Amino acid sequence: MTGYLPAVAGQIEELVAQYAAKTVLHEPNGSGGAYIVIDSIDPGPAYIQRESWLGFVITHQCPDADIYPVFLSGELRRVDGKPHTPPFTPTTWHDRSALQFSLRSPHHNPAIDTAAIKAAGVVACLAERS
Amino acid sequence: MNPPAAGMSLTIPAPLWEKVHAHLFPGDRDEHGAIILAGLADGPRGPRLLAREAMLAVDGVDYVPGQTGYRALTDDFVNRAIDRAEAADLAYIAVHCHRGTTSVAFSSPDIASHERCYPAIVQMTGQPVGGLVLAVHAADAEVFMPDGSRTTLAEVVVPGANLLRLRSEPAAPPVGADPSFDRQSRLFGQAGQGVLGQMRVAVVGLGGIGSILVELLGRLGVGHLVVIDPDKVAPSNLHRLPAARRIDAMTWLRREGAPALLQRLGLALSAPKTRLAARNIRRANRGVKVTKLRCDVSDATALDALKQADWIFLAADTNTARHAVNAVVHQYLVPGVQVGVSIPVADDGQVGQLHVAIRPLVPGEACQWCQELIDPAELAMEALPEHERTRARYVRDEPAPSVMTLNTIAAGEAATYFMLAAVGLHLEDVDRDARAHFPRSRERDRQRAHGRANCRWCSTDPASVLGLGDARALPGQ
Repeated sequence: MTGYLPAVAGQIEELVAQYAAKTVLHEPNGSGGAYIVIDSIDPGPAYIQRESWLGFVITHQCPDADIYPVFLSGELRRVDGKPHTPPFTPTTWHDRSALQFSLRSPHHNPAIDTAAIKAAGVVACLAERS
Repeated sequence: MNPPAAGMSLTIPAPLWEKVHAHLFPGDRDEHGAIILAGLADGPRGPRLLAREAMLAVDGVDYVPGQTGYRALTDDFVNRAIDRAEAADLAYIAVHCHRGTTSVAFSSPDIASHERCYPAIVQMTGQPVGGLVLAVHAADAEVFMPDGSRTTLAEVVVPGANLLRLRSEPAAPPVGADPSFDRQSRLFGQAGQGVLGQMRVAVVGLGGIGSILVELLGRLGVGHLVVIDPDKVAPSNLHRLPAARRIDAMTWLRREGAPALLQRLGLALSAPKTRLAARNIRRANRGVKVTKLRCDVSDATALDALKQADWIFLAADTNTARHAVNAVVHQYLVPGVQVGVSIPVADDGQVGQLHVAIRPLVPGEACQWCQELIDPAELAMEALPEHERTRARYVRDEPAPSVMTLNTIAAGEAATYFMLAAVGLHLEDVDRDARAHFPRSRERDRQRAHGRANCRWCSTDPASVLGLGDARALPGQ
C-alpha cells in the first residue's frame, strides 16, 4: 500500500492542525500507516536540552491501536547526569539516535484517543518529570 | 434442526433475537409487530442480511387494527423506520408473528401489503426491504431488492448458544447415512451429521490448540475447513502438534549448532503448519474440503475467508488475531469460540495458576475489547515490521510454556461447544459465558463479561459496526 488508510490520514490532519506552528513530517510506512516526526518539542525539565523531536508510527491498526512506543532525540541528557532508565531506553529509530519512551495508554479509547492527543499527553508527561 | 440453506439469509444476533422474540411472543397468542434494520454482506451460500437493531412496535400505538389485514404498523412508525434505514444505509425488514410452531407462511393480505408498500420503500431507502413472519420455531420472509428483484429468504440464523436455523417449514430429513459416523450420529442423528457436513469452519492459528482442533473437526465430519496460519513447523513444535514428524521441521538441518546456511535451508524446507493441518484432516476424514491460507489472519485473503465462514475458532494468541476475528464476529455476525492456555512460570521457576480459557464469541455480546483481551499497545507493536518490533521491545521475548495435555482441554471443550451449538443440543437456558479451568486446583469458573455501552464493535451505539457487514472496511483494510 503506497498511501494512508483514511483513518490514518484523518489523524495526520489533526496532528498538523494541532502543531501548526511546528513542522510535522509524515511518510507512508507501506502498510497504510505513517511515520511521524514532530520537530521542536519541549522535553521538559528532566533534560539539559530544551528541544527534541518526537517520533512515532500511526499503524494501519489506527484508531484501535495505541500510539506506542514514541521516540525522542537520542541527544537528550538528564540534568542529574544519571543514565536513562526504563521507560526511557536509548535506541535507534529510522537511522536516528533515539530515546524510546514506552508510555502505554491502558484505557485507550479509539473514539477519543487520537495521535494528536497521545502526542499532547507525551509532552505533558515530560513536563511533569523532574 | 435444519442444515444451512442456499440463498439469501437473515442473521439476528442472539441478544436482539431474544428482545424481538419476547416482544412477539409474550404468551398472549396475539399478533405483534416490529421492524428490524439490517446490514448486508456476501455469504457462503448467498447474500446475508445482518440484523443490527430492532424497533419494537407498541401495541395500540404503533401496531393497530389494519384496514386490509388483522393488524398494521402505523404510518408514523413506518416513516421513522424508513428515515433510520435511509440515514444508516440499512435494510428494512418488517416483522410480525403468527400462531404455529414449526411452520409458518404469509397470509394473502400480508403478501398484498408487501406488494403495495415495499417497492416504494425500496425507492426511498435504496436498500433491500422485506417482510418477515415468525412462528415460535419457524420463519418465512421475502425481500424486495433495489435492482427490482424479489426473493424469498432461505433461512433466519440466530447465532446463540445453539446455532438456530429457522425456515418456513422443517428441512426434509437427509437421505442415506455415512456408516463411518454411525456412533457419533447416534447422539445428534443423521440430520445433525448433515448439518456438520454442510458447515464451513475456520480455524485461526494451528499451534498447540489449533492443530488438535482441526483433527477433531475433521473427525466430527465438518464439511469444509479453512485453516489459517503463517508459520512453518519448528523443531520446538513437534512435541505438541499431532502426527507431526521430524521431517516436517527438518530437524537435522535446524538442530542447535548447525551452520546458519543449513538452518536457513531447513526453515525453507520445513512444512507450513497449514500443510500439516490439511494432512491430518484428510487422514481423519477424506471427505473434508480444506482451504489452506498460509498468511496472517489480518491479511485480506484471510479476512475474506472468515467473512464467509459459519463458525470461527480463534486459537492464535496475538492481539492482531484477536482484533481481526473480533471485528468479523461482530461486523459480520459470524459466531465462534476463542481458546487459550496460560502457564505462568516465574523467573525462579515458581509455577502460578495454570489457566485454560474457552470463550464463546457471540455476535452482539461483550467483545474481546470489552473483556480487555486486546492490549492496544501490543496491537501497535505487532503492526510494526519485525526489526522495528524487536528493537522496540527492550525486554527480550521468551517463548511461553506450552503443554499438549492442557491444549487438549481447550480444544476438546471448544470443539464440543461448537458441536452442541451446531446441532442444537445445548440446553435451552444454557449461558453463553466463558469458562476457565484451573487444572492445579481442579476448579472451573464461569466468567461473565459485560459489554461497554459505546463499544464500537459489539454495542448498538450509532458509531458501532455491529452487523454493518460490507458497508464498513475491516481493520487495516
